[in-house]
Amino acid sequence: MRNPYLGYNPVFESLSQQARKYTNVRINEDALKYEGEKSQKYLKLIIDNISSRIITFTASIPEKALRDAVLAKIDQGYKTLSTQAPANIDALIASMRDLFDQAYTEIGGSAASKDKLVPIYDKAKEGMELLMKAYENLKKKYPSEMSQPVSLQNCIGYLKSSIVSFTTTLEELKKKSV
Amino acid sequence: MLSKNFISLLESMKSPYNEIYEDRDERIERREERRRERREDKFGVSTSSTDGTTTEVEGDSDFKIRPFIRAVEQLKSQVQSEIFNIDQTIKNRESGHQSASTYKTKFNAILEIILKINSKVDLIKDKEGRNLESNDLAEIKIFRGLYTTAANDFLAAQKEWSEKKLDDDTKYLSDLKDTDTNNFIQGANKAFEEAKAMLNDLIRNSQSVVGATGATGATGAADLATGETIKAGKRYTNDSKEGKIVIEVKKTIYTKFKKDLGDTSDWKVVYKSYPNVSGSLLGNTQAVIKGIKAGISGDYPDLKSDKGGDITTAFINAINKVTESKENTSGRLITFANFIKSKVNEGFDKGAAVAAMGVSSSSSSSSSNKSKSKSKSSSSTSSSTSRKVPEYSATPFANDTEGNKFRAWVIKTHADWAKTNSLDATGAKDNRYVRKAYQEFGEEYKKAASVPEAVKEAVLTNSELDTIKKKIEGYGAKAELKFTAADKQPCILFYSGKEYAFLYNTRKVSYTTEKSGFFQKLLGFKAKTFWGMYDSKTNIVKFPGGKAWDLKYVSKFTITEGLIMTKEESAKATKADELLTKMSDMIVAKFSETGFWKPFKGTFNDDEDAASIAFTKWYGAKIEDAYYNPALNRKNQLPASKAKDNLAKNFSDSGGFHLDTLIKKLYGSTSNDTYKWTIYKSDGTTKSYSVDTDF
Repeated sequence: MRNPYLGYNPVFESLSQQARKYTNVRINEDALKYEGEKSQKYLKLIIDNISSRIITFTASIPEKALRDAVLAKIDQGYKTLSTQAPANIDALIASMRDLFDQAYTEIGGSAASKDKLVPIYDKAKEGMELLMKAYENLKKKYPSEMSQPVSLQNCIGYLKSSIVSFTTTLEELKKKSV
Repeated sequence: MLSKNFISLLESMKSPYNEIYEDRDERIERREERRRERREDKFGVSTSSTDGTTTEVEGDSDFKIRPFIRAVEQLKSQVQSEIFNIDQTIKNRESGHQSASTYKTKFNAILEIILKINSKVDLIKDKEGRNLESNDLAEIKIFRGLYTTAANDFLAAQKEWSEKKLDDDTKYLSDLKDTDTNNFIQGANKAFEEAKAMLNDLIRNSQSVVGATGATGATGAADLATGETIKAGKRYTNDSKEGKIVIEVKKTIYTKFKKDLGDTSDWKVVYKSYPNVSGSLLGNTQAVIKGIKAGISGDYPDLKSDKGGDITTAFINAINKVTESKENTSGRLITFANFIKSKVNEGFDKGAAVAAMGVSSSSSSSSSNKSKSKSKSSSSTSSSTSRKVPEYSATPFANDTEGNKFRAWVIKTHADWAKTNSLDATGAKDNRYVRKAYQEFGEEYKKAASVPEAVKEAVLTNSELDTIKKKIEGYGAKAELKFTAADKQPCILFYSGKEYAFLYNTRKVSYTTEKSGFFQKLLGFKAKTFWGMYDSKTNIVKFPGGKAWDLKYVSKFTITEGLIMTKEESAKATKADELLTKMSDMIVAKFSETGFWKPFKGTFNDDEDAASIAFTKWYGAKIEDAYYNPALNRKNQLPASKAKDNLAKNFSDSGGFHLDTLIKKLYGSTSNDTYKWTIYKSDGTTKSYSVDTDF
């Protein structure tokens, strides 16, 4: 609003005009919130998917001895991951990916299983690569959300939930003498 | 150098025991040989006499415990893997978690069977020296039966669960709307599914190793990718992907349709050297496939229009679902289903099959009455329209339990008839066999048994049917009085477009939705038949699930959506309609709100930038999350239906609900300032709106 006691000042006029132009422009907090939620939903989807695939593909190894050995390794890896909090999401995802690679290496080292299982694991590996790309894409699109500590905490939460489920299922199956 | 004399002296001194030693060595060798043979018989392994290495013995003539144990272990690992997967889905509340528990129950049941096999096999392993081949045929059958059931149930349940999960994942991702990330995740899911399919191939291979396929009973033909077809008229090599599928399909057909088509000349050519079959898909095999398609098309409407000899996904799915021939005793395996409860391929129409094959049975006299009656009926069936008139009147049973009670009564009181006509103790409440039985003994049953009210109720008289027919015509449908082909009972056929219904004199109504065309098929829309019961006093047709409509609406065929969708789904469609209407009303109102646009109006030029920003913000805050996304979500949750197709037309604009176009109009980048749009409601009706964007 013009102050009648002040003289004409072109700079002030220009600023006030600019301010007036954007009086109706408000930051849409709902939209920001939605984007934030969306990035977290994707993050959960990726973490759940990696975790679930590691477990399910390991559990589907036909030879009992090899399966038990790899499952034990995964179990141990998960325990370490859940107790030693990683520095950021990148580190967390890399560690999870490493678990899958360990399983892959074990299978490749088994003379009895490698011929039939390696091609299958190669295919699963393709899937893992694509999940990694999905995460990289997410980082590009939501850099601030991905670097927030709360996102890392969420990821650890998703992982812990997976581990609890994994351990419970393992116990249930053991009870059935499987 | 030894002299000749010295050598002869040595020979003369040779002890006769040497010969005994030689005999003993031979005996030891022979004993070893016998032991080896026993090991081969029992464990399916061969131990080399020279280096002691153990290898698996090829061939499927014997039951081999070790490969069997491996196959069971293989299956167990995959069942466990799915249980892990389901538990993860439930615990993490991933998409698909709502239906996951159902599948967990299924996989647990399969695991129970596997544990049962394991405990039995362990017992046998402990009994050294026992020969399973000669004395334990029943036991072998049980093993193979249990394994076949477990493997087949697993493959079916896993397929169902994977599809369900994939659907839910896709819906979830589409709501998140980030195309790049979605593509990566969907690509990953696809790769994982392919890996799973490869694991399933291991199971299928194991099935053949343990004799659970081929002569001993096919477990089911291999899957084809959706939409894939193996073209007829080609000679595929046995090792090629197509060849392998053709072989599996042939084996599955052998097990399931031998009883029905085993006496045809084409069959005899195809299965001349069974269990050895080739990967070729030439004339005779084509004829057999055509015959089967015609024979089972009654139960699998997808196959009705398929008159060719190609192997399609629909065909494989159909033959996998068909239960094995009851009289298939030539194979060594009796599936668990057969072992526990014999089932017969009741729905097979041999007459149609033989006609489609273009040959006659070489031993038609040996055909069962069932086949004869079907052949006869198929030739006598004629109709002024393309709709096939049913052979017998529909039964009045409300559910399978009532039908089974009637079956039990017929089997008890007319055992010979039931045997001759292959009437099973359990089965569908209204298939051809139970209809035929009801036609024969329905009246007697009504008198003899305490039966539901619907059965006690007298059948509709001809004049009553005539009155109803006129009523239906009055509602605008075309109607004709027909007689069922075999038992000549009157019924009314009424239709509109491609949808049709029959009202039988037993008051039953069959309502068939539009048959699938190319696009409907693409969208997952399939023709379906719904069964209802007509009450002449109230003029209401009651359908399962508490749904009921006046005959007027049934005759107008406006109830299809109501039948296809559940009450909840109908409510969702209605809600989506409301949301679309509401947001359109709001947009119209916004453009009429002069106060909103006033700040952007100029004497000479309007401030279109600011106006667009303001409108976009208003749209984001008031329309997108409050109306647009909820409407989209509701549309996505609907099953494949016309309602869904109609609603989908509202969401084709990638920039939101007409937002992009409205913004362009605000900038005046088009010659006309008026913008018109139409909303498409779930019931097919439309409503148009227009706004003047020159604020």
